Order: sequence, then structure tokens, then C-alpha cells
Amino acid sequence: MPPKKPLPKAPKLEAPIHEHKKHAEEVLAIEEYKIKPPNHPVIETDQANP
Amino acid sequence: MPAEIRNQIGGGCDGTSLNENDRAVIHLYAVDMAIRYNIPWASFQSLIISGRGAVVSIRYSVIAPTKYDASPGFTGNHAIYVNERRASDGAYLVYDPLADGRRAGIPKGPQWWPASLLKAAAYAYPGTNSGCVHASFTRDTEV
Repeated sequence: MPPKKPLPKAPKLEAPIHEHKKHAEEVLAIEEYKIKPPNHPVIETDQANP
Repeated sequence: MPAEIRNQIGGGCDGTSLNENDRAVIHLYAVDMAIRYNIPWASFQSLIISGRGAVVSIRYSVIAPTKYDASPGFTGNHAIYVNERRASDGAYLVYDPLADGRRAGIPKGPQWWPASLLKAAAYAYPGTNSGCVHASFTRDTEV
């Protein structure tokens, strides 16, 4: 199995907006972030007190 | 949950997932969210700054002891919408669907949550990797 590509490092918060937009595109393209974890629990809001 | 959304995901009274909610908004509003799991917090912040909003899975037990609690007694799994980050103090504008002001003491409408609170609540969602969050992102609305 080939080694995993290193995950992109997020820019500093104060970085120019174009750096954040570039990082966003890189992150959203990463396949492993699309994998739903096993036993992922549901959102239970309907059980909240009225 | 509004009946319009419940109808889209097959009825019933159980909780919902990010996928089911995404399916509902695609059908109702033609809005396709990008669902991502275990995104590092630094990248989550960057995506919000980049011009995207996000639905974030949180554990409400973290919110319960704070002034942002919009359902006293509820400590389970929940989801909120994060619209933007305020640069001056790093707070996030959060739309909590429970925050409808239905009685005295319940917040109403969007609230600026401290980043530390949002992060702690997202980290506490069961099954999330350390330092990561589950979220579904809108498209970049600031293109």
C-alpha cells in the first residue's frame, strides 16, 4: 500500500482569504474525510425538552 | 423537526444523521452540502473563514451549563449551523434550532459562541477523533 499523502496544513487564521479558499478546496477533496465512522450516532434533538 | 424535512427522510421519530439532513435539503432547497468527518479543528476554522457555512455535530452537555443553553435538561447529540467567524474575538455566529425563545430564559435567534465553547462541544460528539469535528459545509458564498 502506498504511503498516505500528508494532510494539508491549515493557514494561520490571519492569513489572506485566498489561502483559506485554497486550503478549503484541498481539504474537501480528501477522500478519508468523506468516510463515515462506524457507529456514528444520530442527532437526538427530537428528544430535547420542549 | 419540521414535517417537511421528516417527510423527506422517511418519517419516524428517531434522531437524524448529517446524511439524512443533507438528503432533505437537497430535495427541498436544491442545496447540496459537503459532509466531512473528522476534520481537524484548524481546517474547520479555515473553511469557515474561506466563506463557507457549516452544520456541526455537537454534544449538548457541553452547552447545558452555559448561557447559550436553549433546552434545559437536554444533554444529548445535536447539530447547529455556523455561519461565520468574527475576527475581533474569534467567536462564531451559531444558529441553534433550539434557540427559538419559546419561553423566558431560552435564547432566541443566532448567538455569538466563543470558539472554545464550539470546539469543546464539537470534540465531545461521540465517536469523533481527538482534535476533530464532523460537519457538513455549504458552498463558498463569498466567491
